[in-house]
Formats: sequence, structure tokens, C-alpha cells
Amino acid sequence: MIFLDKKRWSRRAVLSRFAAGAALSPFLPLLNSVSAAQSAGPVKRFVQWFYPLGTRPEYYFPKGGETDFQLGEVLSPFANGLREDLVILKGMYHSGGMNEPHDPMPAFTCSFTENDLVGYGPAHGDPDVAANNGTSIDQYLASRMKGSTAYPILLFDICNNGGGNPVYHANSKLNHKGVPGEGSPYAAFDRLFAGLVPAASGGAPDPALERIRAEKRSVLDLVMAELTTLETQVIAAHDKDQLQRHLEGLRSMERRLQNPTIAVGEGCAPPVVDKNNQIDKLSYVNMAVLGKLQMDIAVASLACDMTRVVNIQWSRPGSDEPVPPIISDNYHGLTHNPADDTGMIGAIRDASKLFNTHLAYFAQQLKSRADGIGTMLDTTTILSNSEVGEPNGHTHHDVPYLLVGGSAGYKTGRYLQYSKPTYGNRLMVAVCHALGYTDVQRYGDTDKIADFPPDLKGLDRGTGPLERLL
Amino acid sequence: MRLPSYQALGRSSGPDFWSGRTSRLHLCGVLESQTRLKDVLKKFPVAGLVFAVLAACGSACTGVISGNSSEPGGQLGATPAEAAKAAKAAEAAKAAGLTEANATAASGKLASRRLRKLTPDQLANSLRSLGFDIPGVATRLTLTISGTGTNFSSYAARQDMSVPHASELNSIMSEVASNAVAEGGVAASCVLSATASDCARDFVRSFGRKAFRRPLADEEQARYVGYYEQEQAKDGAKRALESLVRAILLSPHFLFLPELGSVADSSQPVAPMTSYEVAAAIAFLLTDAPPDAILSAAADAGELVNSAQRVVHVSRLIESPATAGGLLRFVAELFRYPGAAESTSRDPLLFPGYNAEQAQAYVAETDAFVREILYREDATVKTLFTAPFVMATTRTARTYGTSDSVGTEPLRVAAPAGQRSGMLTQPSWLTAYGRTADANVVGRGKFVLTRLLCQTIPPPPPNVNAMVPAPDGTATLRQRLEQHSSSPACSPCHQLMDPLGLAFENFDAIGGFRATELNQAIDASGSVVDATGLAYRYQNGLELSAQLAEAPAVKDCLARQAYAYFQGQTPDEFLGSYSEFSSRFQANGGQIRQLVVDLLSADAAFYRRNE
Repeated sequence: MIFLDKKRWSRRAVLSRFAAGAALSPFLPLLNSVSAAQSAGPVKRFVQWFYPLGTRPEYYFPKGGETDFQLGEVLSPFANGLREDLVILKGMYHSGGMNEPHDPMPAFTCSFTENDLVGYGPAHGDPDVAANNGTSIDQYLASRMKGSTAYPILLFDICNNGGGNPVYHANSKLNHKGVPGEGSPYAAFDRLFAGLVPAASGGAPDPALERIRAEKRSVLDLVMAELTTLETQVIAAHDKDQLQRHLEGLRSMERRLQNPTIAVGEGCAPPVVDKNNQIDKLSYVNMAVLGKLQMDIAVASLACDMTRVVNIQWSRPGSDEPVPPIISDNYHGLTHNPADDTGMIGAIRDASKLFNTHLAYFAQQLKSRADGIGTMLDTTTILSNSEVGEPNGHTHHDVPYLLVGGSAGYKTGRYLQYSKPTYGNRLMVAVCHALGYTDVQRYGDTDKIADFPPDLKGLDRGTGPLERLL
Repeated sequence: MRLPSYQALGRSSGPDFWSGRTSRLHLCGVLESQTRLKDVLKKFPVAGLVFAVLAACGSACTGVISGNSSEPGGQLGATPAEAAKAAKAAEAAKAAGLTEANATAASGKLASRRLRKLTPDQLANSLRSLGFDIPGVATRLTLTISGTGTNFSSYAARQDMSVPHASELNSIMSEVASNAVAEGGVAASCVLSATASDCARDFVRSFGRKAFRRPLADEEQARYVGYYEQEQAKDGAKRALESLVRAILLSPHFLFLPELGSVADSSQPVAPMTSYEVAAAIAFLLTDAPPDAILSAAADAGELVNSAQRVVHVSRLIESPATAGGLLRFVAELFRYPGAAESTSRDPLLFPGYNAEQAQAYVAETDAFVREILYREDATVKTLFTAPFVMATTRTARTYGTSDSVGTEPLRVAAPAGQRSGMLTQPSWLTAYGRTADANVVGRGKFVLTRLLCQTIPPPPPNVNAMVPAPDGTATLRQRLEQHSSSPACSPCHQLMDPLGLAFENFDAIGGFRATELNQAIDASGSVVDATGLAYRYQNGLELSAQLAEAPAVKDCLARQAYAYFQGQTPDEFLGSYSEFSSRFQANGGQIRQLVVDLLSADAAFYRRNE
């Protein structure tokens, strides 16, 4: 996409998309304050996107140079109209897993927290180990943007259940624990959109709904007061954290009740979710359908400016579950076939291509919505990654970090190859800068690699943004 | 079998734990660094650490089952600073009124003041006891992640609240609250009462007492009544009551079980839980439900503060399977046999007619089997592992080889001679550790090693084909597993697990008995030596079960597991403090119910550290 000059974005341009519902929109004051916080730049959004078990490098990485590259098979879903929105990164290493002599497979959180992993990790009976590894980039950015929108962050899971590593896909700075996402599109819809009244439809909310809202709010206020009191009596960090989360859950409901109208404008409309024909949210057979529902809800929540940070997790790290229609049984088990098993290689290629097909759909939805002088894809940085590079080898090099969109912050349509080992830490710093948080210079464990792997021992993971990206 | 290869990662060579010799250097190198040791100690399961140290620096998964955390019940892993802290805590515990023995046991290993969250089943039972029978509440609460994998559902530190979970609770409580004010609901009489405010005041007092499992404090009572009056003025009595019920049920005092002790004691280093907290803890741990009327009355009378008083109540509740849901849950979570119902995909050509219904029948039958052992038999470890009967239904009679049409309720029938005896021959457990076409030999062996002998074993190395070769119609499963013993990367650990798993080779992927495989007689024999030096030599799973039934290491391990469950602490949180329970369990011949009475009446279970 075009590299947009930040000066060409004005607050007026940002607000113009809400012009239709401006008189009634409860989001306008919020937008104003945020626009002020982000100076004269456009509203920027971030999406963290995870899919399991990596890819096949030989089918993933493009051929050619920085701008004249030809997409490989796995990224071919972007060929039709989205090639210029990509930044493909080669030579990237995961920071995690370096100290674990038994199992160098980086745990999932390391792929977005860039911290060392010590101990066995979640696959081996100790979920807290990996979940203790710092703050993932989505949570960090949400904490920086807090207060801008009704929800600092929304987390969507798509079939994050069954065999594999459990729920801990995002760590919050507050408590260093995994934060479960919403696995049901129906519950997500209810929480975000049910009962909302489009401002453009005339604006007067249903009095019956209004009363229920008032009543609910008073209940929540009462409970929140109790939570706050009890919090002063508990001592364990885990307990404080539990109460905080309960509180946050109630607050997020309350916020929604405070804003019973949404500004239906260009690009913003409640998603279509058929609650009368619900499908099983735990069934992997439904993964693609569930995924589309979750993506549509996520896009709508971004388009309606209910949140600016979204986390989408497909399946789970080290998934022992299927990837229909490509893998009908245990994906992780399959990846342990002999290294030269062509059936396995093809399945990994096709599965990772499928997840990128979904990502292309998601990106296209953003691209079809205007935002200022460009599209929402220009103002949304999507960072996609997996827990390993290549799953048969559990590799932590050449991990498939991929940026989609975000051309308001850096030049897209590029293939950046790093010849020396380059850690994700500096990519995280670059993403922070692209979103306007230029004070961030280090992210995650940036000290020298301690013990493992031996040939990288002593390597400094570095500070400052990843070179050449911005 | 491919050896782990760093060449594959673009490296010329590297230390490798899995190739045996050089591994030692690497892990020991890690441990030599004091800073790393601290991290490792903090994060590693302690027993796992010891095992890993032994494995790496001594002998990697030697042929002897060794490297248990320590002598049974022993303490280990304490740094000087921790030891000093422990001694201080022990002193404080003694000063606080714990018996000498308990104070010693408690030395720094008492649980901290904490909150426990109700599990989905406990929440459903609590709502039921308040008069709300909402079908499927527990299964709707899918967002709690406690009780998964090798963890027990009672682990306080593993229970998680989250934003989506709070939203789920909110929607359930909204439903419950509208139920409360509907005709016949618990608050319905106040809706029509002429003296609405008085009625609400009484309702708050009695409903709050039940919901919070303690009387409401004066300010709580005033706050709820004030809230009711405010809402009633706006919206009338019915809506006000509905909101009130929802507020009480969303309160942390209902959703969590505080173990904080009294406010007056809050600055003491060690303090007893209040009698209300004790009543709730006993009730939820043992019955999986809130305190019954007798226990509540005892709490009101302040009667649960000493061990002798608690014994009376725990003994009363544990007498009946109807009030020992927590004990049955512990056995189910320990053996993980309900996993059969989650492992229903089987090759239809090999197992025609097998389906989820049969798997669920298996689980229900083992539930009945455990009740039989604990309540009709002598409730000992020995009987649990050797009882020569099964609980069959018509649906599963064929699995058991009983031709009787026994009916739909599990009925006790003698197992065909020489085929089944005890827990490890229950089809549910065997199926939980079965695969699509054949038995999960490694899984069964690892279960015995880790769950019953409390050993730890490292995960498989990277870059190896961890899949057992699929059946090809020519090699038996034992033959297909032989590469485990021939490969130097696999054998150190698999020679511990595989023989234990192969003992159950007479049972197929759905727990059916078989004498032959591929027209060859099954060889289920094997031998291993455990950490105490005890040798097990067996021709089949029945013989192995009989030897496990007598083994001190198994009793020690079960005492440790029960301690973990009933204290709600992971083993690395309490290591060392279960020894007195283990000794008594050994001495009384492995009496399981008595073990639980001991655990739930001990002072150590109901004192909390203030840190």
C-alpha cells in the first residue's frame, strides 16, 4: 500500500467517518481525546494473530528481493490484492525457549512476549511456567491505549480447546498470567452488540432496555464495591489478580451498558450472527465457520471503534487437534512423522496456507472499509506468528512473523531478509513505534542469550526498533 | 527412530541431553550457575528437578525407577533462607495453638491466606442448595480452566477468573435471579408481601447467610437492604428483589471461598481460619457442596476450631457416598478414568459398535466400582487394586465377558477368572489410555510411574518421531515398541514406562480382554524396581496390580496426592509436610477413608500463613 505521510492525516479526517451518526454518537468525545493523545496522526489499531505449529519455510518464504518478491505457496492467498499490504520477515528468531535444554520448542507466549522460558512449560504439566513470561505485545499496547475505547482489548479464540497447550495466550503486565479469550462468537456478540441501538436509526433507545440497563448497572456497582473491599483483605498476588479480573469483567459489561448506541457509519455495523442456529464452539469441524464469525465480530468491533486492540487465536500451541479439511486427526502428532515424510510436509504447508487464507479474509474486510483518506487496513497493524518456525524440528529460527496492513506507520509491500539472527524483541519495539509509542526501546528479555542454543550464546538481543522496517 | 539432530537446525554439534553422555554436561552447566538455579528451583516442579538432576548428572532415566523426590515424606529443596523462614513459621504455628506435631509439619508449608474459587460443580451445587435447580449450569461454565491435565480441580492457584467468565457468570445469575422472583421462587413471597421492606430485610439475612456461608456483617446487611429500598422505590419490589439476588450471587463472597481467618488475626504470621471458613472448606472438599445444616450449626456454635471436633463432622460426612462427592472426585481425578468419555474415537472396523454411550457407561461403572470399594468393601488401597469383581451393565456386558443381561444400572458381578481385578483393569481407565486402534502403552506406563509412584519423567526430546508406528498387521504392539529399548535416545526413559504399560497388553484400546494379538499369545510380563528398591516381577497386569497394592511407595504417593487434593496445593508448594499422613496411612494398611479423615481434621489444614 501507499506509504502515508502522517501529516496528511487530520483529526477531521478521522472524525468524518462518524459524521452520519455524529450527533448521537457516544464515541465522539472518546475519539477526540484519543486523537489528542495520538497527536495529529490517524487512529491506529493492532491485531495479534496466532496460528499453531508454524509452517514449511520452503513454501512460506518468497523468492526475490525486497520489492520484487514472488509470494510462495503458503502466502499465495494474499496474491490477489493484498501483496502490497505485507511485510514478510525472514531470519527472525523467537526469544523464548533458549534456556530449556529438554525442549527447545518455544512456548506460545514467547512468540509475543519475547522472554526466556525456564522450566518445562505448559505442555508438560506446569501451565504457570510459560504463562509467567512477561507481557505479550497485545496486552502491552492495550495498556498504553487504555481509556481510548470501551474495551482496551478484545480476545477471540477459535477452537482453543482439546489437546495441546492450554489457554494462556496473552499475558498481562499486571499479573503475568495467561488471559483466556472468548471462544463463543455468540457470547462475544451478546457482550458487544446485543441490544445496541444503531444511532442512525432514529436514536431513541428502547425504554424497556434502558430500564434493564439501569438496573444491571446498579447491580454491577454494588458488586464492584464489594470486590474492591475484599481486595484490600487478600494478600496473595493470585487472589488479587482473580478479584481484579472479576472486577474487569464487570467493568467491561458496565462500559457496554453506558454506551447503548453505536455510531453506525461508514464501515460500522453490527455483525451478522445467527443466534437461532448455533453451532458447537468446541468442535474443530466447525473451525472455519466459527473463525469467520469471530473475525466478523472482531472487524465490527474495530470498525465501530469499540476497541483498538484485538487478539485472534486459532486452535492452540502444539495442537493435538485436527485442522479440517486438511488434517483429520492430531496435527501435532502428525508433525512428528519422519522428517522426509512428504505427506506430512504437504499437510503442514496446506494447514499454514489455510490459516493465512483466513488472515487474508480478515485483512480484506479491513481493506474494504474506508478510514480517513485510506482504508482501515492502512491504520491497522496485524502481527501474525506461530509458536515454532518449522514444527518437525521445533525450530525457533525463521519463525513466520508477518505484518499485514499498517502502512500508516511503515512502508508495506516488502520482503525483509535479515542475514544474522534477529530476535523478535526488536520487532516488538518497532511495532510500538509504528503505533506511536516511540518511548519504547526494549521489549521482553533483551539481555544476552544465556545458555541455549550454544551457537547463539552471548548474543545480545538488542534494543531499538528492528532496522529497515520503519 | 531419528536421533535428535542439531545439524537439522544448522549447527555442527551441540550438547544433547537425550544422547546420554554429553547431556550431563549441559544440564549440570545450567545448574552450576547460582542465578539460574534459583530460577529453576522457582519454576521447576521440585520432584521434576531432582529427577532431572539425577538423570542428567548421574544416570539419565536409569533402569531402576529412581529419583523420587526423597525418602517418602521427606523434605527437600529448602535453601538456608527458606529453612530459617520455615523454622520461624513453625514457631509461630506453635504459638498460635497448633500441636507440636502439626506445627512441625506446618513448618513453612502451611497454605497462605487465600481465596478458592468454586468449581463449576460446586457452583451448581451451591445454587441448588439455595433453591435454584438450573439444568446444565456446570457445563455452561466452560471458561474455567482449573482441573485440567495433571492438576486437581481443588488447586487454589490454578483457578482462574477472566473477563469472559465474569460475563458468563453474569448471564447465569440473571437467569437465576429472574427464577427467584417468579411464582414459587425463593423470593416470591416477598414480592407479594404487604410489608415488603421487612420481608426483604429477613430475606437478605437468611439468603445471605446461606449464600455467603456465614452471617452477613451488619454493614453488609445494611448495604443490601439499602440497595433493595433504593431499587424498590424506582421499580417496585419484584425488580428490586431480582437485582438483589443477582448482586448477592455475583458477589465474591459467594463465588469464592475466603480462607483469610478473622480480621483480628490478620497481622499474625499464622492464624486459624474462622469456624465458618472451616465449615465451608470441609464441606466443599469432602462433599463438593456447601455445608449442610449440621455443619452450619456447628460453625455457628464455633465448634470447628479443634481437631477432635472436626473429626466428628468429617467422619459423619464421609460415612455415606452421598455426602462424599469430593472423595469420589479425588479418586476420579487421580485415576483420570473419566477421560474415557473424551477419548471416543476408535477404528470402527476393529471396534464395531463402540461409541460415546459405551464410554459413558464405562465411566459410570467405575464410579460405581469406586463406591463399592470405599463403602461396601474395606476402603483399602489393596482392595482398590485387587477387587475381583466388576460393575457391569447390559451395554458393556460383552466387554466384561459376562453374558448376563444385567440391566441398565451397574451391577456387581464376578470378573471372569484371571481376567480382571482392581482399578487398573477397569475399562474406563484402559480406554482413557487407549488410542484409535491400539492401547496407549506409554500412556498407561507413564500413568503408573507418575500418578501412582509419584515419579517424574522428562518430556520426549525434540526432533524425534514420538509416534508409535501404526499397526501394520504383522508386528505386535510390543514389537513395534521395541525401538524404544533399542534407541539410546529413547530407552533410558522408556525402559521405565513401557514395561509398566505392557503389563496391560491383555486389554485393547476399549478395555476389552484379549489373550492373543495377531495370533500370538500376549506377552504381558515384565519387571521394574522402584525408588525404595522394591522389585516388581509380573506375568500380567493383575500381578502388577497385586504388587502395587502392597507397595509402600504407592501408599506414600497416594498420601501425597490426597494431601495435594485436600489441601488444594500443588506438590511443589507443600513438599515435606505430608509425611505424618503418609506414615499413618502406611500403618493402618492403606485405609483411604481414614486418610481423608486425617487430612481434613488436622490443624495444619485449617491454619493459614500470613504471606
